[in-house]
Amino acid sequence: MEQNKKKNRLRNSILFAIICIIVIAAFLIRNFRTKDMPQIVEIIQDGTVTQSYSLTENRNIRITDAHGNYNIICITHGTVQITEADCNNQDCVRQGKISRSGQSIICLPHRLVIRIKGATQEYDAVSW
Amino acid sequence: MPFHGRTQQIAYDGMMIAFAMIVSYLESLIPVYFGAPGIKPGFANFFIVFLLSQKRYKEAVCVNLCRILLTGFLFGNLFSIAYSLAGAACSFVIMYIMFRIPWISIINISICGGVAHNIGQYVLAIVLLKGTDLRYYLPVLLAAGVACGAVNGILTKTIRPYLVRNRKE
Repeated sequence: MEQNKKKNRLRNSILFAIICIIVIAAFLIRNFRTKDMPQIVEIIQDGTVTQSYSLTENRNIRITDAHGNYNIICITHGTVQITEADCNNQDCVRQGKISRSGQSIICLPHRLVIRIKGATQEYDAVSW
Repeated sequence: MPFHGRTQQIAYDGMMIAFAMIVSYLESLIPVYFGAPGIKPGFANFFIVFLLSQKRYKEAVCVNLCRILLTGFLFGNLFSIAYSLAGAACSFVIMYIMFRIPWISIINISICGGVAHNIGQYVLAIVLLKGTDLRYYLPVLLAAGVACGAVNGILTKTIRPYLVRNRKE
């Protein structure tokens, strides 16, 4: 009886380990997959998309708004970042790098949004 | 399960439905954000696991169905009913099969039930939201299923002895 109990405990532990491995594997596969999905960097000024670039091509972009203020956006190795801006709070620079679809950098004083858009639609939270 | 007549059984199942419903409702009030939209612990599932562990399969189906329809019409909408039904059906089938295998522990059964629930909802979501790529959402759902299932399983294991006290199994 005692022997049997021990055996069952071992079996259950193994089953649990298998479940955990499957979940971790699912995570790994996902991270692997999202890397080769084409992503687009959208630059939105005053609520309208003015320019869009591929996330995979490295480049520096200088954005100037109607008042002559500027932001310098740097796309490198699949990440986007605002490296320089002449706004007074520098929040956009401090937001750092983004790389996943759906993420965005916002510069409020210049009414500028930089957003990464995946090749596919984002899911809708409302339907859940 | 020795019930003293049908009336007692009806009262008992009614109590189970009431418990499961109120737990579902309380859960929907708590605005905890579990890393992704739509993830909640699903404590109502505890009652289903408990009934299954008592080998009362028919009652488990009834309680589950009543709970989903009642909470759905009272607090949710048609979509939430559809998602709940898909999840509950998958989870129930998996748990039913696993309860037939004698050596599997309640915690593992509950975990698989939780995962199956999420997979069921996921499949329905793919059907309903055609063309939407939900692939990268699946691992999150699996992990959530394991975590919530484990919590439920531990709960069931701990509370079960008190619920079946004074009753011969």
